[in-house]
Amino acid sequence: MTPALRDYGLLWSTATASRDARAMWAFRLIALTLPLAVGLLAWTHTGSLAQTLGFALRVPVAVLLFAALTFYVPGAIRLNTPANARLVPRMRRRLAELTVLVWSLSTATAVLMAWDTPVPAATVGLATAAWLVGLGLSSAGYQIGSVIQIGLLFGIIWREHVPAMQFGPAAMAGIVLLLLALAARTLELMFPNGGDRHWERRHAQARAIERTRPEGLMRQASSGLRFGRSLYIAALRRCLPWSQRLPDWRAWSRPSSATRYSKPAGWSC
Amino acid sequence: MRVPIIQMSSTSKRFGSQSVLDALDWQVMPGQVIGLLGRNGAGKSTLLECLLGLRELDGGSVTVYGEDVAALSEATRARIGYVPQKCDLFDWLTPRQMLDYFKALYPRWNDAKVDGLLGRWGFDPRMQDKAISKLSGGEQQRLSIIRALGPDPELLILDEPVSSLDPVGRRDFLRELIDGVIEHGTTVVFSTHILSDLERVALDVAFLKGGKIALQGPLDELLEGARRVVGPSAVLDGMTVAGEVRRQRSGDGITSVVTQGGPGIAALHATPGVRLESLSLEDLFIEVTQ
Repeated sequence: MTPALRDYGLLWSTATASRDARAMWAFRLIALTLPLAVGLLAWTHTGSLAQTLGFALRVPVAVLLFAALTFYVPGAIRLNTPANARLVPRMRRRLAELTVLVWSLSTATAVLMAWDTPVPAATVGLATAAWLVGLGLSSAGYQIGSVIQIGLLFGIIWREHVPAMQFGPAAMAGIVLLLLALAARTLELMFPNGGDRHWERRHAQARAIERTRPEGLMRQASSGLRFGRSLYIAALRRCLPWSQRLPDWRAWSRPSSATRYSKPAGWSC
Repeated sequence: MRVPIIQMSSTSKRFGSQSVLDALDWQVMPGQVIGLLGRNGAGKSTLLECLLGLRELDGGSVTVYGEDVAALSEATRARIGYVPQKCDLFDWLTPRQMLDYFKALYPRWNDAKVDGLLGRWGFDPRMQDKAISKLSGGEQQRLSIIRALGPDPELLILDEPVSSLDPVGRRDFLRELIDGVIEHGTTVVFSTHILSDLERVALDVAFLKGGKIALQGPLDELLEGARRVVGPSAVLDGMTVAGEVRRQRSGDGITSVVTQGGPGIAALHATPGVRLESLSLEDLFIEVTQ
């Protein structure tokens, strides 16, 4: 084994070791059960054993690929701390190389999986590449990454109505070049080389990585809900003149207080 | 001619409007063991981070082993060990997994030293297989030190390395630092607030104040030479004291001058009303950094 391959193996296993064990079990369960559902659906639609098997076998590959990517990318970003990026020999360079390798293999696998399906392989390749860029950016703590991923989801759902999905060869080449440039920039943002901005991004990265775990997602969702509730209360206080007299919004939960402050006639907001 | 390992020239660093390092010049020579002292917020961590290229500079330059710190070669990186103030370990791994990871990336790794330290510092086989996130703060700090010592660094930078350690842990660490690191000629720069530890270990001290190295020298020489000259303001105000560090005039007509020593200081003793007082490291710390 060459030194580079040994490094890639080491980085891959260390990065993916940060995965949540429950999430791994969930992915395994999906990889086992979803092919049955997809196979059944394909059988009822096509009646062809070959096509049914083809569809059913693609599912676990896609699920496991998705799982591997969602475990690897945040893990690799966690390895690249400011001090390690600057001081550990080879680490940052190898992480970037491995990520490019993983991206390339994933896109190629997705294109292969689209073979002999109604979905054009080029569309699948571009969508996969764009999704990988979105995953990299969101894991590195950049919200634009989530926007790209959600945008792709909508694009897939309404693909017939999106003209961008039916480009000619020249436009397609332009999109590929654009995606390559975006991927190169994403790689830089995923693996900064120390410096003040790297330190500043660590907090956003920690929050992005926390969202990959169920309890972390719940924690952030509940803090988001708390924020939303305080915004709501503030808006309510502003809009409803009578509510200015409220000593404490928690008092609403007490029956005596709730009856004391009744809504005046003619209030509007 | 000896070439400095670390050369900081007119190094400036700001955070917003706050200047932390102000055109700082500093050299660290091979084999030096320097204790970096300064008050809270003086910028010790920032200085060490700039020195390692972990933060961008607003001005000046830093070279380590003759290379620009922003573009260190991989060979030079392998010569540096760093223990940050806040542990930055891979908490999802076990200590053994994390050490194996770094072992694979460094060209040189001292297995005997790492195994010896793990054994001596309480990392029994059960603890070596426990997730780092489940270790206490002190255990994580000990692991952080072991990880930094693993590649047998020629330059070791320690940022408050004993802040989370109990007295036993501190004693063990200092023993290791003296016997296993300093005795082997490693260059060490470390910041600490615990002056008794510094007196045991450091050969040189550097005081950081106002974004500059206000005073630096061999610890013994500084303590031997440093004096507080106290006397009537009428006598001392017009007098230039060699090696003057700080001068303070109190309301009762008494002036106090702190000096790091120099020619003619002892002779001041003969001046009527003037007395010379020796200074401890703590006194010197207070006087220099105030």
